[in-house]
Amino acid sequence: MPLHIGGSGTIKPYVKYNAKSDKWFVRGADGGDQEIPRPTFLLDLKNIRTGWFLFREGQAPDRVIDPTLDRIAQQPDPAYKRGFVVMAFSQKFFGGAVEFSSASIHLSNAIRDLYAAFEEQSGKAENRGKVPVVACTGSDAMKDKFGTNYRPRLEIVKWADRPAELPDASPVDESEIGRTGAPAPSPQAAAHVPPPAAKAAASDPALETEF
Amino acid sequence: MNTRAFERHGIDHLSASSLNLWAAEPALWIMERLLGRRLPASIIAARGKAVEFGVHLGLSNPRLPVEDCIDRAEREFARETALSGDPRREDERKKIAGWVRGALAELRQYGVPDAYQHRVEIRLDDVPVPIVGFIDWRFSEHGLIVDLKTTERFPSQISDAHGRQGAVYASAHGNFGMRFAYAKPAPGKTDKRQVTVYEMSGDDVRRHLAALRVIALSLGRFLAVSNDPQELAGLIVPDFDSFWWSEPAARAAGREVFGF
Repeated sequence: MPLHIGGSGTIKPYVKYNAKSDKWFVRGADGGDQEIPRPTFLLDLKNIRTGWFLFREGQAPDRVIDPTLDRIAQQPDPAYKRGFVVMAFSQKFFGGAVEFSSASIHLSNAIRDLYAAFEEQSGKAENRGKVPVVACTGSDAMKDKFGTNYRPRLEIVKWADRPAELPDASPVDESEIGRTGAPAPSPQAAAHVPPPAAKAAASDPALETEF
Repeated sequence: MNTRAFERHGIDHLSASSLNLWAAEPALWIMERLLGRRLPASIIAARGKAVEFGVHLGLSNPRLPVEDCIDRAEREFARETALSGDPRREDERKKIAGWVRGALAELRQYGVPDAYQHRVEIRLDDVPVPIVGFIDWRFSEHGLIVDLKTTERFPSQISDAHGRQGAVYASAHGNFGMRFAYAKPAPGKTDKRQVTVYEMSGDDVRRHLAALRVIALSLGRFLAVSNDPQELAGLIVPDFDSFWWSEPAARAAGREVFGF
């Protein structure tokens, strides 16, 4: 087992969106940012993770990932902001699979709305087992106390089979997952789900033992 | 972890049920899986298998009369339990018709499954052997995997043991939905439902896969302690009060293995 200390000498490929300039970048061959046009790409929203992120100029970002999407990790420090990390894939725009991560409020809002659309559409039979193809079709200027920033317009344009380059896996390491600030919610009774065609604690284990 | 620990004990794969057993009653796991003292299927397991058989006939052939499915399920149960002296045998046999009827009424609405008892296999980080499983039914038309559980009472939620089983199935099928259909032999007096269906969330799947990994790693570390199964059995004490040992044959075998 390798020791996870020292420098690895490699940097994960990434794509990022600069909300201040409304520009997309990938990691260039020289290790710096290389601007790309508005991309269309596969986005692994099924495995998206949220958490607390600290992006500092010239330094590797630090992050504490939520245990689950509905349980928020403790904020390590007030400097950490809410954000997301998800894997994206486009041979044309990114050169393969890349990490897409941000704590920008405007981009996060766009991703939040995109995820809502994903949840709605992923239940459709024709989309099962597939990954959404997301297109950036433009942006909206958002004026706030920091001046003008941009919110990208992200739309699910279709669904595609998952390529081998985009494995069905978490984009984060277990070691990055933080603890929740509040105790875990008590288990709630599950709800019956109707059949798709409709379109529309055991005291005696033997009695609740199912085979 | 010692990657050869499983290999040295002749274990080339694991399953959710095996890991559930290791987590719940390690002594029974040692007796059955390491020492090869496998117990005959319990009457409860036999009824589940028989009901599933009858329901599958009805799902794969939507025109097959329910009574025919029941008849085949009852015959399967009789065959499976022919040598059983369990006093519950006749009681369970009488209820098979209700389970089959109720499950078919619900699951025939899903259409015809395109896979039954399909083998799936996944890998967990740092676990040197695959985790395998066999799904009950896959309805690709709806992107769903459905597992049937016969029960006397509806559980309030998917148990951890079932969740781990479902996590393996779901993980092997991209973002297919994973549902458990819990069927009772008859509707309740107040709750008229005979079947309730729960679906796992993506977070459920991730959580249970993480648990399976931890349990498998624990098992690997235990197996690495010794190459001698008898020596390993000497490290664990069974809880004979547990329902896992409720079958007389199990307790008798356990006494032989663990010495009390």
